[in-house]
Amino acid sequence: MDKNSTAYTFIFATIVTTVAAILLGSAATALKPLQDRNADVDKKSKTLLALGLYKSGMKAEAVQAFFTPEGNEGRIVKKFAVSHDGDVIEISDEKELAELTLFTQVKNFEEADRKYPIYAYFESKADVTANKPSQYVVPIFGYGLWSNCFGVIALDSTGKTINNLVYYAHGETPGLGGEIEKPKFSESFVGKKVHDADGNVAITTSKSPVGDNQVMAVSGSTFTMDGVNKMLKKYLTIYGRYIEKANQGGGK
Amino acid sequence: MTAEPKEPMFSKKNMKLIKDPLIDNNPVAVQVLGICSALAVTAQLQPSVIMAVSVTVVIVFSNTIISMIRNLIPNSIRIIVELTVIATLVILVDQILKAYAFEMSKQLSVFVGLIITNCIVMGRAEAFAMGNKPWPSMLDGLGSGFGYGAIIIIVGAIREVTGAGTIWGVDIIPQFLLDLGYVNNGLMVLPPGAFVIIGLLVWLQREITKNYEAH
Repeated sequence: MDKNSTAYTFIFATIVTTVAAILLGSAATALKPLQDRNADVDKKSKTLLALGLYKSGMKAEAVQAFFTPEGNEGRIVKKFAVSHDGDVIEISDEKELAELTLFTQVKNFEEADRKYPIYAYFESKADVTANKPSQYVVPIFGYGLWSNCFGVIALDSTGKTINNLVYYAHGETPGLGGEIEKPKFSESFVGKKVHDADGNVAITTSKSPVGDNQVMAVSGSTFTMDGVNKMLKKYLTIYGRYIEKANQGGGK
Repeated sequence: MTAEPKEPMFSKKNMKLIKDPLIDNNPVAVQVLGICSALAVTAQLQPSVIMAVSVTVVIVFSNTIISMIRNLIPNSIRIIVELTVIATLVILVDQILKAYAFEMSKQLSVFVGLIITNCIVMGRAEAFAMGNKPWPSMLDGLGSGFGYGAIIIIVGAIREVTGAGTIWGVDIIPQFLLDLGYVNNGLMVLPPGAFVIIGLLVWLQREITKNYEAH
């Protein structure tokens, strides 16, 4: 067959693309479980990072251990879900609970119908029995300038003080909006108060921060900061309802 | 076709294919290819090494595969076929990194995918593999990979030591130097630091080979 004929070219191109597709398809399928596990451990380690428990180079098993009923040296992180109104939603199916993410809930349900995942951190098994968490970790999610931004916030047990904030995935401009992932931005949230004097969620970024409710904005990234402010307000309000109820003894 | 005399596997000509790109015809220092990734991933030694290995693997396999099918490739879609082979290999590398070296793949992020556009890989496929037998093509790929890798590993090592005071993540600056007021050079962590070092390496390379450009 003539190597430069149109028919040969088409046949050759078809064969090459088919072989490439089969190769890539089987590789992707074969490696998927490992990749999913890595992504899961990565997300969990970000939760631990927000709680101040993560040390660099921590083994995957050690990270996973925190999320088991036995915990890592008695320190336990428990995941559960709350409703828009701040009530606990019982999810008995372990797989469903493990796969519950804020992102999929936001994608698939109306705001009032979503199950909001939340993590409680207990320093010992006795605290679990007494249901006395020392910190909460709540996920936040929203749009920046270009992309979906994913983060977690660690709150103290009263839900009034921010212990840490970590953005772990985003597609913002490196050097501008992308600075939200840097420790410098995270650290500015440490110790800040969520609510103003009237009890409303008032934590926000600002060009010239004053008081306990404002943190230094990243310069040159107005849209990213708008997104950050919106998601802080939205999710701290929703999760705040639960934490308030829990502290009054009515949450669980 | 006349039967060619059988050439030994590691003949002088074949060894030259490996040695040449290391110094005399270095892809980064002489051909100025692959600069983008050489700036982006070399802030630390470890990602530099992973990147060097990834590029070498891709270039060796792409050269070998393209050379094996070179007589079957229709001329009109030559470049696209080369690209398909390279892209397939790069995605495989990316998938494997995501499965077995997740932290690294996060740190290298888009730059693994961008190996596809690394001119060295495409350049060697088009310039060498399309016209040579698989074995020399493989050696040529190996040489070019090493040439690229050598530069980014040197740049990565220098930048990590001067910029962060560590090597492979381990602190190496002795305490008494820090007490004396030694500070890490923040410029080296940023991409312009890589420009400076690559510039110095190009200078060094020219001094060794005495291969100056005519003016």
